[in-house]
Amino acid sequence: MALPTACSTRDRVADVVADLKRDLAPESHAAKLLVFFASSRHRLGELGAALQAAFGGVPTIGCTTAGELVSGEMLKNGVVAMLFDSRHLKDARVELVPSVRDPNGVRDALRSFGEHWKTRAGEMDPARFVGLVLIDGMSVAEERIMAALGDATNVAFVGGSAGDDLAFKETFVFAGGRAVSGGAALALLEPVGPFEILKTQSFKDLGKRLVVTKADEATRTVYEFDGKPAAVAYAEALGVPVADLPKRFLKHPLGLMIHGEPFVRSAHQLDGNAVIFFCHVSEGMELALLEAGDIVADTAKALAAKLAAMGGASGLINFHCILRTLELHGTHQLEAYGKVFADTPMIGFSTYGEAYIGHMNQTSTMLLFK
Amino acid sequence: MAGRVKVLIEELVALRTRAPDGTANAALVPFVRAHLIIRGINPDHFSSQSPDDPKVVQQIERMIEEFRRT
Repeated sequence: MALPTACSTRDRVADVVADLKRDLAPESHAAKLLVFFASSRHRLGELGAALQAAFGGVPTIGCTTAGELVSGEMLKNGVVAMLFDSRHLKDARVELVPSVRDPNGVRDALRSFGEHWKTRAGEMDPARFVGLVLIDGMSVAEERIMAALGDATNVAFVGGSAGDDLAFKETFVFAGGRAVSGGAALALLEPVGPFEILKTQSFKDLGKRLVVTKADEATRTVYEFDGKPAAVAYAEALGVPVADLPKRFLKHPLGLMIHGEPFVRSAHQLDGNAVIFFCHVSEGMELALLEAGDIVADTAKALAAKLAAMGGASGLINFHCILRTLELHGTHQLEAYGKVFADTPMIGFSTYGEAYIGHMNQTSTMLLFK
Repeated sequence: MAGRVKVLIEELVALRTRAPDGTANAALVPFVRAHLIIRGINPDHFSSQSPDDPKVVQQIERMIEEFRRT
């Protein structure tokens, strides 16, 4: 049973809600969860509350974006949504973590989930449950949220960092009837059928390694690789002058290799000879030098393999890095990327980072439902 | 002292991969190891001869405590 998706590019909240309600047809079966992603031009609190009211108080989770994705298309300034009903989910709950700085925020949310299902988070079966996590994309605190989730439960949480259409000022997440900046939204889903996670990135390992020997995790800054100034060592590994290094960040990020797969760490600027990343790197981490490949071809191949293994999917949620969106835009491949998903019900958004086990960059990280 | 980190990693992995019936769920091991690597603790980098780095020891002890109580 295909998961219903909808989109709207209209301006007024009432019109957006009408568009989504018409296409999602919530009357047919008992609605369990509404997931939406919206351009930051909309006030997320107003939009989320209007959607929740229109869908009869169904648990609703969403965030602002840097572009939206819906089956076969990549949008700007739009709103996309997916409605799960009793054919797809046995149950779902959402929780808001009002502040990513609250050390008890994630723990409280997980306790609430645990009370609902009468199972401690640490005892929840990861084959029965899966989580969604949406985090303020300007908080520089995604690692804290993912670490708290990962320390407490074996349930996988998949998601992304909210965007603000590349303004890089303020992002919002929505859950529990309200929107906040500086927080995180969590959902715990109990699907009816099987589900799978696909993390795909288009990079090959060039076989060169850089070991972080001096770093500040809180500011995501690396001062030294292999005992050398970070920018010097990174540029040497690439065989380019330090002055040219920033131009190579997108095509040659670094990867923390886990089970042969890179968890991509993308650099975004130099501070003297220090390199500042979009996600944390710890002292002692060994990072692989990567080289970018063909996003469209690699995504199509990875998705086809996953769909074949699953015997098809009723739908998927795609957390797609804004850096990939920008690269696709630069190479005029946005339409081609969208078409990869033309035959699969999909919503997603261009993120300020993706979430799966940890926080990472330059991936498409997807949650697929059989 | 040496080897405490390796012992704690093994304790954490055993705790997190124990099924309700008490058997080990081997399918969970890669997930738990990935979580540790992302946190900056690569299990392959610690042996029974590895020095007991107090910071790493404390970090894993906290993970064990958190998983038990949440």
